[in-house]
Amino acid sequence: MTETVKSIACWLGGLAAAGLASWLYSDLYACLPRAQKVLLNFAVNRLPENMRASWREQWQADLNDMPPSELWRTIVALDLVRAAIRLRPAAQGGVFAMLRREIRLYSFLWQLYGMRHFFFGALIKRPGGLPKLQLPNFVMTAMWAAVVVRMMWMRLLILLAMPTIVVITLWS
Amino acid sequence: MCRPYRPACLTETKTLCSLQTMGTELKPTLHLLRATKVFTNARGYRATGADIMKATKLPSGTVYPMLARMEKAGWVRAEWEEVDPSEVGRPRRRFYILTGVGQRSAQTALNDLGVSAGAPV
Repeated sequence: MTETVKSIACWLGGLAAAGLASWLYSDLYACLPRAQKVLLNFAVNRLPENMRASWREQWQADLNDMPPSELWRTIVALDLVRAAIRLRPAAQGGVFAMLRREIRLYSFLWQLYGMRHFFFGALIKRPGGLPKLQLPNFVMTAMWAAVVVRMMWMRLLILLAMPTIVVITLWS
Repeated sequence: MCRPYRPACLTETKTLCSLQTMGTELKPTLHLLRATKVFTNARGYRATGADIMKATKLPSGTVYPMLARMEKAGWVRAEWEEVDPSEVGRPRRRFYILTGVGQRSAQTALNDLGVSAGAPV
């Protein structure tokens, strides 16, 4: 009896998480154009002042010419930060300054990698066996999966797969 | 073990890595040659950063610093689109145009790959 209740609770929990993921997906997707502007400003502000106006105009025009996918444009805008960091030494002639900035950027990315169990915990298989389920892992994974995979049938698959993962994990 | 194909021209430092262009040395990397090939395919031998990103699948963090280096070395020259942003309702595009120097230097490198860099501007 307890097992049955537990499985029903898990299934409902998964359903709720998938619904939440879908809701978050819509919200995040609506925020992407704003995120592009923020990233573009952040990248432009990495440049020396005399270069900012021309690069801003050029990057805005190029972002408009990208394929009509907000997610793709956001990725391009995110990489403009790296472009700006690399453009600085070209203008100021400091190779070591460029190296310092690159090391700082990559150490930040490495820290993000260290947090992978938080973001994708439910998908990362640990040495002991099946993934260890924790609520933040589960919600974050569902959210990222829904954001990355936009297709409706895949969202349906996630909806069905998540409760199964919960049940298997609790039973193991 | 499989190793990625790397053209011989990219390892021959004597002929290619010492190319002198307008006083600035520019190493013809594979990315740079791929970008140069885009200019020969584009109409009027000119392309925007977005065109190069789409054609070469290179990320923006690679393309723009490379274009800046190419411009500094004289391989390309840049010019703004001749439109009024307030009239067309969008920012002006910045076109990069392959120069004769860039075409000749790229052609030397591309000869080893057995492809043509097109006619100079």
